[in-house]
Amino acid sequence: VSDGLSVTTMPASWTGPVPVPEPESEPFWQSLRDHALAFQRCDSCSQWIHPPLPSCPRCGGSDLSWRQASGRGAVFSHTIVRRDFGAGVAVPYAAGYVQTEEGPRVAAYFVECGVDDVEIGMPVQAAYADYPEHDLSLLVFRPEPS
Amino acid sequence: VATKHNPLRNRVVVAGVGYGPVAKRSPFGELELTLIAARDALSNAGLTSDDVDGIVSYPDRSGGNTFAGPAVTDVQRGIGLDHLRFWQGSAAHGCAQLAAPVSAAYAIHAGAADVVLCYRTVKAQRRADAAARRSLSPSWLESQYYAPYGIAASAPRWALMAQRFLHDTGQDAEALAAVVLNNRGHALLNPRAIWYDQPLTKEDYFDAVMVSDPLRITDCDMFVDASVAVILARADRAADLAHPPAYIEAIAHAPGPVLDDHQIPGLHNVSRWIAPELWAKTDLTVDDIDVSQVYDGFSFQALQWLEDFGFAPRGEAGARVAAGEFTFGGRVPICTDGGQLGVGRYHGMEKLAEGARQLWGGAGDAQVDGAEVSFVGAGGGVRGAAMILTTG
Repeated sequence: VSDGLSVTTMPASWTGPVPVPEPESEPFWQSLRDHALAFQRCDSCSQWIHPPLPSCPRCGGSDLSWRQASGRGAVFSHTIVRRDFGAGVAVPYAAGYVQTEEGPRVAAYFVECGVDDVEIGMPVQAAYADYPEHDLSLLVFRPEPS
Repeated sequence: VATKHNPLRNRVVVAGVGYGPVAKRSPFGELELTLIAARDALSNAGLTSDDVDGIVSYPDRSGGNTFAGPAVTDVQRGIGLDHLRFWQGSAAHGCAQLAAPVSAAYAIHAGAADVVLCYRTVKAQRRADAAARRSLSPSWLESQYYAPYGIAASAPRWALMAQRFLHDTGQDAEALAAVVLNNRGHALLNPRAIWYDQPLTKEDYFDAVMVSDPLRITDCDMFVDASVAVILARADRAADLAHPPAYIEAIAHAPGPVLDDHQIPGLHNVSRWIAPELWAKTDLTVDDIDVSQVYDGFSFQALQWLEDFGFAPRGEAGARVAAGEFTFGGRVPICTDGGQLGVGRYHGMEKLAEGARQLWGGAGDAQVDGAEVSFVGAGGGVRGAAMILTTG
């Protein structure tokens, strides 16, 4: 059903949904602009937290730090989207969830490999697609070099 | 933690059900469709609008939701409910497709009302969904983490759950095909079904266009304009009603530990958490169920409901559907009206209507002989609810 040749290509300019950060999420989006994926972690109980929160849901601690993540993870689920639902990325594209090494699950596009080549469990490495006109960088993952 | 405490048992009955005509593009507005269904349900129950003292819908227009039906205020006026004691229109979060009858049952049991009209009307969904997709930008709050990644809209979001489910259970497209063929076959018995006169072969299934892997267009229920109404009543009013009692034995709707579809542990369906809660509330077991209206908005969800509730062992639902265990003459017929895959996207409350009709012996060509215990389940992702109905 697929041609085996398509690769998800991030567009040169962004016409898709643009996030409107809240105070607790702005550092996450800044970390992407800095090309250094980061998550919150609780200083008291070391719980990783994502999506960001104002305080720790486990211990209630209010001292949360932004810690840079390794950027490594594994594909948790994926799909090849073949119908245009207004994403702003040409179909077919591969997208899904990555379970990061630290634990948080994030959504991302899968680039630099055939849309057919993405598999659950595949090791991936974070990369970034920059859209400075929107002050936006999006998270993408590529296969981890073996 | 599942609880056995179930004071609701046998206190509420399904009194009547009704439908508006189904069409891909209905000539009726959403209010008229709803009133047709509501009057049909009143007639079916042997009641008049003067008997109704409660009304509930999920979700209603007041929430501003794109997939809402008409507001309870309009339906109340349209059908002339002058003696209300309880009314509620809810947003899209919560007990989902069965939220209206869940709330109605609780209100009746608590003494807030005696006879409650529930309705669900879907109309102009394609236009609403197109508008919703455009409004995805800009994205806000929790959607900011998903909307920019091309997976927030319907099929792709569910495809991610389907992919993980098939992977974890060692099933493949054959399992999805089995459900679609099973339910589309049942639709051939139901003149109300949008696919009533359109048989589907396995070849047709595999030839269908892939929307978002592993979901083909045939794995997705067809958008329709439709309305279903269900009237619940106090069980001690059952003698006044047209049908023998269809008692609510138990209701469950535990959502699991996370209320964000994208962050569900294991990407499991809500049925994973509803099942232990429902079984704890009844002495009945899965072997007692005679007929089962599992949710099938997307084909894989029916497999999840079947496995989570123990109708099939983990990983075997697809093969057992293919083997005929879940069609007429099999162990437990499912989706006897054709399901959403066959009837169209009623969006869940029709499951309760069909579950009750089976207990009344009123399911026409799709009647399961001697059905005494009905299972009803609706919902996907974090939102859902399940019920067991019995003849007492």
